[in-house]
Formats: sequence, C-alpha cells, structure tokens
Amino acid sequence: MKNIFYLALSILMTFLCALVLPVHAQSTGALAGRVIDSHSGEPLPGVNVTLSSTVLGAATDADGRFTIQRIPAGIYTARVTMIGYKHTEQHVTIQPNQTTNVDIQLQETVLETPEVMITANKRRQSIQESPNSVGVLTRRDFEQKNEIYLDKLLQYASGVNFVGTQVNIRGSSGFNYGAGSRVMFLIDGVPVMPGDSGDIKWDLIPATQIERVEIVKGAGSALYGSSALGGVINVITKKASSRPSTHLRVATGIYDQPRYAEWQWSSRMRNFTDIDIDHTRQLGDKSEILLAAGQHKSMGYIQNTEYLRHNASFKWNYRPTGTHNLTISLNYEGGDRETSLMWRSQRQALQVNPIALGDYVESQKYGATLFHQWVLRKNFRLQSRFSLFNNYWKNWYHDNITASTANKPGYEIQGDWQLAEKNSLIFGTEGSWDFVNSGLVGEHSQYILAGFIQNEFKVITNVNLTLGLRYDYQYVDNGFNDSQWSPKVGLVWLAQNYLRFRASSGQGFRVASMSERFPEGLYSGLTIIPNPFLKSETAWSHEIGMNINPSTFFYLDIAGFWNDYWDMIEPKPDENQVIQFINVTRARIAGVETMLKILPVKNLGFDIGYTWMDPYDIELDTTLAYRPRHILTTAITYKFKQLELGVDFRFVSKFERVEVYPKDDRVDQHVLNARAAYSFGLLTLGLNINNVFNYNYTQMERTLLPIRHYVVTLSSKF
Amino acid sequence: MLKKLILLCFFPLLIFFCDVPTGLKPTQSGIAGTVFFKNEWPKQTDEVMVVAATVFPPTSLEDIIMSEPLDTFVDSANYVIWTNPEAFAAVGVVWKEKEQPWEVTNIIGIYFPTDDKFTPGSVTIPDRNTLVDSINIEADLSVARRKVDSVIEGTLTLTDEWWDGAEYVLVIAAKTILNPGLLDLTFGFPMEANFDTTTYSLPVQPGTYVAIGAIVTEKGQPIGTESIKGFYKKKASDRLPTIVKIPTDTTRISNIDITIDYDFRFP
Repeated sequence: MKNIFYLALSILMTFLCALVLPVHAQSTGALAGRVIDSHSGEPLPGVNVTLSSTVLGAATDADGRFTIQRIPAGIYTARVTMIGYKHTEQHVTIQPNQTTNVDIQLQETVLETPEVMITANKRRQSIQESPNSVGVLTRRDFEQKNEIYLDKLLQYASGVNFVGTQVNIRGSSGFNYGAGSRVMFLIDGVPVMPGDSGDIKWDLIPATQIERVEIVKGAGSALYGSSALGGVINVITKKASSRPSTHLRVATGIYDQPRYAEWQWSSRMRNFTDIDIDHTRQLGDKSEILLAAGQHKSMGYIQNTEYLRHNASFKWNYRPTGTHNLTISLNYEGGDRETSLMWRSQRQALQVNPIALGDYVESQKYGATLFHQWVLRKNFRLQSRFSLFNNYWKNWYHDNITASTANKPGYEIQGDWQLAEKNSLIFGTEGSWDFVNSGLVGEHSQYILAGFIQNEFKVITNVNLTLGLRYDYQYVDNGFNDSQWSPKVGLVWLAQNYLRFRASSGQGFRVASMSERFPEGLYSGLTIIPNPFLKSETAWSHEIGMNINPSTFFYLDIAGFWNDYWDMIEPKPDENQVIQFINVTRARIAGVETMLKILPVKNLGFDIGYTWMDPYDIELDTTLAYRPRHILTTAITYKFKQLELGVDFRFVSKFERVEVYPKDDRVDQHVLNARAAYSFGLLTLGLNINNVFNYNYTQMERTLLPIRHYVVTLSSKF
Repeated sequence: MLKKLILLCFFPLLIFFCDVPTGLKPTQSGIAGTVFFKNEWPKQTDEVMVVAATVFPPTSLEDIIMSEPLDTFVDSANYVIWTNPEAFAAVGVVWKEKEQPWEVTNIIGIYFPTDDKFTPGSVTIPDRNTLVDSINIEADLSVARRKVDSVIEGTLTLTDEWWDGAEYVLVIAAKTILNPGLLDLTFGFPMEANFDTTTYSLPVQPGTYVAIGAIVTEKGQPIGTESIKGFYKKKASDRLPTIVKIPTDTTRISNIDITIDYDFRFP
C-alpha cells in the first residue's frame, strides 16, 4: 500500500512540476496566413494549423485566415489538415517580434482514408505508417450517414460486427452479455470501461462530439493493456477551437409498421427525437472552450424500450506558453431506459413477456480528464493524463432491484522521443484502479499498474520496424494477483509510392471483469456463483497486409490475419445448472479482410469492405459461437452540387452456432439504408430510410433488430 | 447526371428486383392446451410454466422450450408454446418458488395421453403451420417442492459394466411403489452414466419414502418402470427397498447406498 502511495505521489509531483516550472523568457514571433481551396480559390474555414515541436495551433476563420501567437523564434513545420482535403506540411521560420505570413492551398481529396492521421500507436502518424490494420471513421462519415449513435455507425466499418451491444473486431468477442469486452474502448486515449461489468458504454458520447474513430484490429495489449485482446476502438472527440462556431442538429423519425400483422402491438406511431448542440470559442488569448449538450428520446419499436437520455460535455484548452498545453474534459450522460431482455415469442417478436413490462434501468456516467502536454525539447515531449470514470446504474428487473456504482481513477505518463527523423521512441507508465460496490458482485477493488516502451525505426531504406513491450501487474482485493508481458513486432515496407506491405505480431490479454469474477445470486431464474481466482484470457495476433493507392481514385487494402486465443472466459452451467465463469475455451480465428474505395466517375464513390473468417473452437472442435463467417459492407455515394445521395448495405452471414437458444431460427443479416442530404446556406436537410426492405433479423437471440424507420434531420453550423 | 443517377440506383434496384429476403417470420406452429391445477396453491408460488423437452428427463436448458408464465392461483390456465417443428419427448408443468432458481426437475404435472403415469406422452409438431392443441395437463400442486435443507445422500455403485445405450443416472425417492407415477417420485439431477462409483445428494421434502432408487435412461428410449436399476436396501438379502423417513426440512440422512445392476427388475 505504501508503494502505491509513493507512486501516486511521484506522479502527482511530476504533473505539478510540469505546470509550475518557470518558463524561460524567449523571443517570440507569430505565424499568420490564409488557407484556400486549390481548385476553386475559395477560403476554407475550420482548417487546423499546428506547429511541430510545440503545442501551438489554430483554426481558420470564415475567411480562411489564422494567426498563431507567441511562437519561440526558430524553424518549424506547419501541418495543415482538414477532413476532406489532402494534408500538407510547410516549413516556416519564425523571427523574434515579427509575424511570418504564409498562404496555403489545400487540394480536395476524393478518397479520405490514405490521408487520415491517426494516434493508434500512441503517437500521431499517417494511417499508412501503421504496421497494424487500422480502420478510421471520420466526422464526415457520421455526417454523411446522418447517424449519431456510434455503435450503429461502427457496423459499417470493415471487419466489425455486433452481437447486441457487444462489439466484435474480426470475431473477437462473441457474446458475453454485460460481462467484459474483448475490445478496448477509449475516449481520447482514456479507457472508459467500468470496473463492474467491464463492457462498453456506447451512449457515453454522442457522435456529434466525435472528430474521428480509430479501430485498431488485432491484439493491442503491448500498448493498451487489458481488454485490447481483439482490438482497440479509440474515439477522438472534437477539439475546442479558437474560431467561434455553433453546431445544432435536430433529428426526428418514426418506425414503420412491422412486416407481419402478428407482430403489430401498438396503434401509436413509434417516434424518436435527438437534439444536439455544441459551441466552441476562444476564451482570452490563451484558451478555448467547447460546450455541448444533447437530449435523446425514443418510444422504441419494441414494447418496453422507451428511453429519455441527456448528455453534456465541457472541454477547456489552455496554452500558457508554446510548450505547455493543458486540457480539462468533463462528460456526463444519464437518464432512464426501459429494458427488454428478449421477445415474448417469435410469434410476438416485438412484445416482451408481461412479467417484464415496467423493467427499466436508471443510469448515470461521468468522465473527467486532465491532460497535460509538455514539449521539453524539440524532439521530446511528455504527456500526463489523469482521469476518473464513474458509472452508476439501478436496474428494475421484474420485482428485483439491483444497483451498482463503479469508479475508475487512472493515470498515464508518456514520453515521446524523436531520436532521429525515422526513429521514434515512446515509453511510459499507466495505472487504473477499480472500486465497485454492486448488488451483483458486492464490494470489491482491483488495480492494474503497467509500464510500456515502443520503438519505431528505419531498418533499411523504406523499411520501418516497430518493437514494443508492455508489462501489466494486476492485484485484486481477494489476494489474487497476475502479471502479463505483452510483446509486439511490426514491419512496414514502402515498396513503391503507391504500394505498401505490412506485417505484425502482438500479444493481447484481458483480466476478468468483476461481474465475471464475483457474481453471486439469482439472475433470470438461474443461480450464478463466483470464481474469485479466474485467470486472464490471452491471445496472439498475426497479420500480413498490403495497400495500393496508385491514384486519388483507387485505394485497396488487403490483410490476412491469424488470431489464437487461450483461456477464454465463458459462463458454463454445471450439472445442477449452476452457472460459473471459467477459463474454458481455446480458439483460433483466421481470415482475410479487404477494403476497396473507388471513384469510377467524378463525385460517385464506392466503398466495399469484405471479411471472411474461420472462427474455430479448438476445445470443442466446432465453430465458435456468435461469430459470422462473412461480413460485407458497401456504400455508394453520389454528390451533385448541394445534393448528396447514398445507399449503404451490410451483410453478415448467420451465426453457425449460438449458445443460449440454439433451436431458434437464425438468418443472415441483409440491411439496406438509403440517404439524401441537401445543403442550402448554413443549413443541411437530411432524409434517411433505414432498413429499406424491412428485413427481420437478430444478432443477440430473441431481440429483433430495428425494423424500417424514417429519419429527417436538420443541422446547421454557424 | 442521368448516367450517374442510373449507376447510383443500379445496386439497390438489383437487390430490389432479385428475390429480396424477408428474414425472420412469425412462428405459426407450436403446442397448446390447458393446465388443470389440483390441491392448494403454495403461498411461496412465484411462477408456473409449461415446458416441452426434446429429451426426458432434460439434462440442460438446451433440451427445453418454455411457455410464458401461466396465471397463478387459478383452477386452470390455457397455454401456448410457439416453436418450430420438432419432436418433444415430454410436456410438463414446472413450479418455481419465490426467490429460488428455476429447477426443471420441480415438475408438478406431465402430459400423459394414456393411463400409464410413468411414461410421458410425446408430442410432435409436424410442420411450420401446425399448432398441436388439446395437450391438456393435470398439475398437482401438492407435489411442488419448496426449498429445503433435508437431503438423502450416499453412493451409487455399478455391479458390472455399463451397457450399450446407457446415458444418464437419476436418483429417485418414491412415496409409493404400488403402481407409481412419475409425479410420485422426487428426481435428482441427471448424472452421466460413466462412473464405477460416485456420490449423490438428493434434496427431498420431509415425509416417508418407501423406496430410494436409481433410474438409468437409455438413448432414444422412454422412461418406464424397467428403467429402475436398483434400490437402497439395508441388507443385500432384502427383497423390498428399505423405507427412509425424513422428519424435518433440515434432516440429513447419509449412507443410502445403491447398487446399479443391469439385470435388476422392478418387483
């Protein structure tokens, strides 16, 4: 305990020192300029301009102009980025007490993916430099598909599918309702999975607050630790900007009637409404703020699934000097949601058992993060992050009431050292504590402390090697402790300007969640008993891949993967039907994933993603439960002046094996969505028809996925 | 512009004009009937359901399909189990006590189409459009087993070798051996027939049990009195089973050892 205290103290001291260290008086200058579209010559508002080796940056105003003040004299690289445009870099020299002026032209991109900058390896780099497969969804994807729920949009990412609320990357998770996730979920690099259930809370942040989502595929514990067994989803939220801007989005919609008369259960039109607003502006000359709020409500298309939820966010960015940047973020999400565990019968698929009428859950989540960046030298920066995530829920299930409170404080300190132009070293320490008081698992706590190091360097011309290693130590309050070494190796070979090859191997692990280790009692009429000494499950992921990008009209990425899993934690009933989570499954999932983006004619784009996998349960010599063999996603988008039209199609082959109700009917998933958007002035009007063919399917057994529904959206940026 | 719109519409139109699948459909087939309750409803009644089992006795939740909970504290209740075509070895009524887990062996009624109360009636749903009705069941609320701490425990020993087809072993406690029915028996959980010797523990209600025995189920065969393959007998030379008394709901009776013998015949 003493050791933990001193460790916490030293971390805090490091952080305080970083804030209060005297800033050397330096001669400073300024950088100003204008960014325009290279084709039309029109000014571009909202372009991000950042300076290398500093924490300084600015966004362009309505005339495309920007100014960055108080830059220490020297030579810098100005990086200019905007979604939908090819990023560019320009060398600039800052003279003392002078303003350096630059004019920058950005070229519009038709294919966004090759241009995206990602932070999947805990440092900013091009997506093409990553040795792992990384999928990216940008703000433009959310706006284009007119979607505000992150989990719904992720279903259109290559290699991703859902079973209920449980996300699978290349078939990693299967289905393990409310008890742990094999995919790590981060918001701005902060793990936000509560200690009790260890699952992902998708509603914590509305998509209107998201700048970009990075989906790292394969085991990623060498950098991210526990839960990064099948992959990592990192949500990068909108930054506070110095350019005053307000974004309002109002969406409303209705569900159509079910396809079959037997399934009709309500004479009322089932509707839903989402309202989101955010505002960002400069505050003084050293800081910016972002405020956001939203209300989301729905009557639900299934009986007993009404909800009313609210969210609010606050972000304050403060730059006392060109070498220090402090960001404070606060997030809240809460409200009530009726719950429906399963249908009444396939005859009454949109109704619940009468005994379940009135079941609901009341929940609140809070997240707070303090993030500090300190550029100590031109080639070395230190990042410190302190966070707290609180998750509270109270569940009314038939006549039982259960409540849970989970707190997760955490920290991370990371050094980022650019040893040479093609040699970067990152290293750091990370820790998190879980304090849980729950009717499901009792009162428990655990902590995980870790250290990590990763070096990316040039081996020979055009070949970069990545070596990484992380050590995690876990201690649970019942005396159980465990440790894991997670190595990683990756290789990227730029064979031609348009052709890249990559290969990687890495280990992943996941510690058991509290709801797997300590559950006790009666749930849905079944007895569950604890397994206090449950081991971590582990995985090795291997991948080789290539991407071809010969022109701005064609992008192809192909990857082959081989993932081995050991000691997978599954709930198993004994001969008395008493359920206990145990380390049981040894599995292997191998497959191929492709992603193709083409523009056969101007303004008409096709996106096609296809994943084939062979999910094999070695222990039982059969197919792994809840995994499809084929996932196909396609999107066609056509833009004509202010009008944008599109269709999105998703196919997921039916699960060959399920565990809870294996005798139930199962079908493939075929879902077609259509969308149209028209922009006039500051307004954009959107119309979506989702599940156009009113196709009926399930992911989790006995829960019908949304029937056809219509959405009208009005959004404005001013 | 027109060309692009045609191209844009091509893909969805292609899907539209192909045979667009509709996915899941409402179930039209199932089992229906009425449950007639006799004797007093126990105060501790939480739920009652009708359960159809593909094998009898069911050995896991995968073997059963349940109806919705029936009305309780009534004389009779109609039920429907909507399910796809399948052959069910038994249809029964299961009782659940408040604040206790579901136990599929807590059976208070079984569908018997004949006077043989030891062999459950099988029900087959022939196709997706047939609702097999009139599967009426008499449920005896007096045999509902509430949670008790009283148990009978001992060992099960096989005399020779397991015979072909032997699948599960169930310990039973019977309150009568004169023309017994399944509802006169208290069943333990099925144990796989692969041991030479094993221990068992059978929760039982207070009362007098005239026989403690072992039933061996055989693959694909219904249970009958010929499935009984051994009794507890104080002396090996005894011809009849030994009576075991459970005076209170905390009584624990040990050393009730049973020998399983393929050649055993119910007296």
